Amino acid sequence: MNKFGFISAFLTLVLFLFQYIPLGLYFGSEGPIYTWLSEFFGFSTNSWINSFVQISIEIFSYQGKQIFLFGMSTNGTLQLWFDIHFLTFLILFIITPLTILLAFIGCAKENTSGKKLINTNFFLVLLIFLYCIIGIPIYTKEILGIQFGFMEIFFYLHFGFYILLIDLIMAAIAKSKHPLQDKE
Amino acid sequence: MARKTGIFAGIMAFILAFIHEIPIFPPGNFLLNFHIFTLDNVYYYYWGYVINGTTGYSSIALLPIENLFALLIWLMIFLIGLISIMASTTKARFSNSIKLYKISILLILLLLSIFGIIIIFSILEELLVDIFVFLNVFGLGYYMLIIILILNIIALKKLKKLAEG
Repeated sequence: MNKFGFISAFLTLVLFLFQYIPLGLYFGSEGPIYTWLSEFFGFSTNSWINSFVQISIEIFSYQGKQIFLFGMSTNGTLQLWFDIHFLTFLILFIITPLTILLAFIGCAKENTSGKKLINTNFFLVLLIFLYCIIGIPIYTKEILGIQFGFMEIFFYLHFGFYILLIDLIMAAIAKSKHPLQDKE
Repeated sequence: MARKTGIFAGIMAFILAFIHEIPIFPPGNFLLNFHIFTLDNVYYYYWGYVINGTTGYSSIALLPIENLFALLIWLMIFLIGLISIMASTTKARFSNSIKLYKISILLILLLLSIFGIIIIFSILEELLVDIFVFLNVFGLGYYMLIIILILNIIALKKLKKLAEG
């Protein structure tokens, strides 16, 4: 098993599915996780899991607007990329789950097809990373309503960006160290 | 076969990294609280601290660079968990596993000494009056880290025996 590939897939999955990383988990009937679960599943009296601290994992944060891989949050209101910007939707929302799937399958296969999948995972993560630092600044007028200058996006980096950077490094290591068992 | 001691140590480290408390028997108020130490009704954890059991706070949530120390402490306990599990899998190489266990043990010793020094200096005056006061200050989180250290040492010794045999 390619452990670095697995870590890369897991990090992409976290970035794609989560708005924040909960720390200090406890069981109780109040707090943001309980509110979300009660709204989503209709729980009313069950005690459920909550957390004391939430580490927000947006890629960029600009004046109350948080940019994630799945969409954007504007002062607490979530919107998917499909509602905001179509090209970003294609690159971030469509390619990201594909990357996760390829990496999870690729890391389990110790043969040439697994290596090809892990290679593809690296190039797709690289594409996502480059789109985040080049593509999003180009379309900031459409996305955030203000045109950013050259390199201005780097003033608004958040935890998600660093996680994406670690993800890219892991994907690169996974690409170079993929174990091969069959001799073809 | 996977080394169970290492995997158990990894799961324990992940519990310390993420969880505040687990209720065992809530009507009897029997809870497992994973704090490292407690001072003046403030419970300190690897991820932050909780005041009076109601308000939680973590320096990790601050912007980068400001949160460096808190992030390093949290990453250490997170990496201990990750490393212990990665080194204990069936397909892990002997030489790599030995290195990973050694790194894990080193990180645990570092954490134990950092928090040990912090606690001793925080209760130095009380310690001079009553030497056993530290029993009220140290929490389950600190003792669990010692257990993780022992489990990792056992896993390392087993692995070395296997490598020799």
